[in-house]
Amino acid sequence: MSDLTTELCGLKLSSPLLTASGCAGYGQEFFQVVDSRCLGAFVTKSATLHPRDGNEGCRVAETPAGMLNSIGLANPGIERVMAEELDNLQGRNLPIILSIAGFSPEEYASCIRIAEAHGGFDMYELNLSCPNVGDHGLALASTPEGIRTIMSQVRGLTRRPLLVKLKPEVADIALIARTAQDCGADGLVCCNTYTGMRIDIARGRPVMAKCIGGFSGPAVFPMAVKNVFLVSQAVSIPVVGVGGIASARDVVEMMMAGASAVQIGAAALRQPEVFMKIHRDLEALLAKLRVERIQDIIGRVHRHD
Amino acid sequence: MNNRLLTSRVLRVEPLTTTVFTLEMETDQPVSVQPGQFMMVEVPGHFLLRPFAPISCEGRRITFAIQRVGEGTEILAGLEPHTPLMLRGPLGRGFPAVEGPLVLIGGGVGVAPLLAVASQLEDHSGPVRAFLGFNRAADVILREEFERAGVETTICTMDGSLGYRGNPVAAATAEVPSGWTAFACGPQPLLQAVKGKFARVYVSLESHMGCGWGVCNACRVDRPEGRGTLKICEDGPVFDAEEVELK
Repeated sequence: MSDLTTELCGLKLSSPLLTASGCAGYGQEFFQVVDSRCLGAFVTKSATLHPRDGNEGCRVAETPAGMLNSIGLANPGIERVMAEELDNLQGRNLPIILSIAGFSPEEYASCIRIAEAHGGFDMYELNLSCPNVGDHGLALASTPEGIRTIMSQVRGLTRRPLLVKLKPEVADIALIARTAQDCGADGLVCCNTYTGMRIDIARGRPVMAKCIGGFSGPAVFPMAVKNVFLVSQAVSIPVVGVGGIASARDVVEMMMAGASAVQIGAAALRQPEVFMKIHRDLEALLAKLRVERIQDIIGRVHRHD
Repeated sequence: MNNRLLTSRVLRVEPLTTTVFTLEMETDQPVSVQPGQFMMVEVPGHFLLRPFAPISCEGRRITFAIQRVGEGTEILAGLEPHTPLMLRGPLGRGFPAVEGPLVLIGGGVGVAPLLAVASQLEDHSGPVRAFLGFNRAADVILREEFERAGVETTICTMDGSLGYRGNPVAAATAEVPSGWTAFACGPQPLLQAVKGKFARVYVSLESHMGCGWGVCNACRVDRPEGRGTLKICEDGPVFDAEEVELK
């Protein structure tokens, strides 16, 4: 049987499969369906400093081989997340990665101070790249300056590992990734959703109230593989691959591109049992590929450059 | 919560009108759906499943009444018998068990979950009436099924081509005492109109959904007076009308 353990920022993970932020809530509904032994870690829905209802109107739409979402960071706020929601996750022998988002560097800093006071989790994911809020989404991950600003405010506040979730639609993602590494990021999550739009042709209006939404699902998989390939080549810190993963084959491909672990989002909204299926299939697939330890395939494609 | 993944196959698709059809499925295992609860139904070739509240559910047989409104429902309308489909459910909270006089008020394909209610009222402790509204006589669906369930049924059409002329809320408020309990499902204006007209009003809401089981947060409904939001899939789809803003 193949060894599925991997490592992320010094944390041993029993499986390379992680939830993607926003696609498993805070675990309450998720663990009624998913066997936690299939997971390496749980990534929470992003918490913000203040509670948020999220966007008005239609917040989800179908696309060929995928979906658009425009939730707008609906969440009960960091205080309640720490005091109430993390309960569903603790006691499962599963590392918890707390995703936080904000509308200014100060908000991220405040969230981290509150989270540090509560404890009970292992790592942060900084969502610097939600496409669904404000006029153009969170833009801190759009430029090296944005990354430097946020990291200078938050890095000193915690000794827990910080993962930076990158924005895919930028001029030079390798430059952003290197900047995050230079500013003290312990790992990168590559990437957030792409952006897309659909139009209701009967009404001649955008399907989404905010017109543009985050685009995910199998349709984005090749773009995500490319981004993981470019980013992992540019940095020495671990990269978590995310975008359109729906099968064990996709996991192997993403890890060969350079990912140390992967997140599964849209596929699990559609069918949460996919975590069990992928976990099962992964062992068989690695055996077929004669891979004993999944860690051995991380970045394999780079060794053939 | 009974968020189960079921495999099923199509038994038949039958048109009820030019735009509404029934989709009858056979599941691999028995499923028990409370009236007003819903199932997520796979649409072949599409990524997201779609939420529908069945009109009936007996053993391994489950039937939906679905209106053709877009690409997904067009595909469902054209399904051949034996097509395998993934189903998920039963999901959400359906209509509550109530005692005493009950009025069912539905508009268009919104009468579907009310038929599931009507079919399970054999031992109900009080009179039950149904007011079913449609645009015109050609759009009327499921009338015989409501009558077969033993419910006194009034058909309403906006153009007066059959039954009461006007909307079913107007007909119901004219004929039924306001002390009754009302269950309503249909377009938002119908739900807004029925709110406050009866002693207790329960409404079934519809929404685009990503997951249907509470994690994606797509199906938001607001609570009154800025008291936050609820998830239609998990907290509903049936709500006490006083607990939600009907926009």
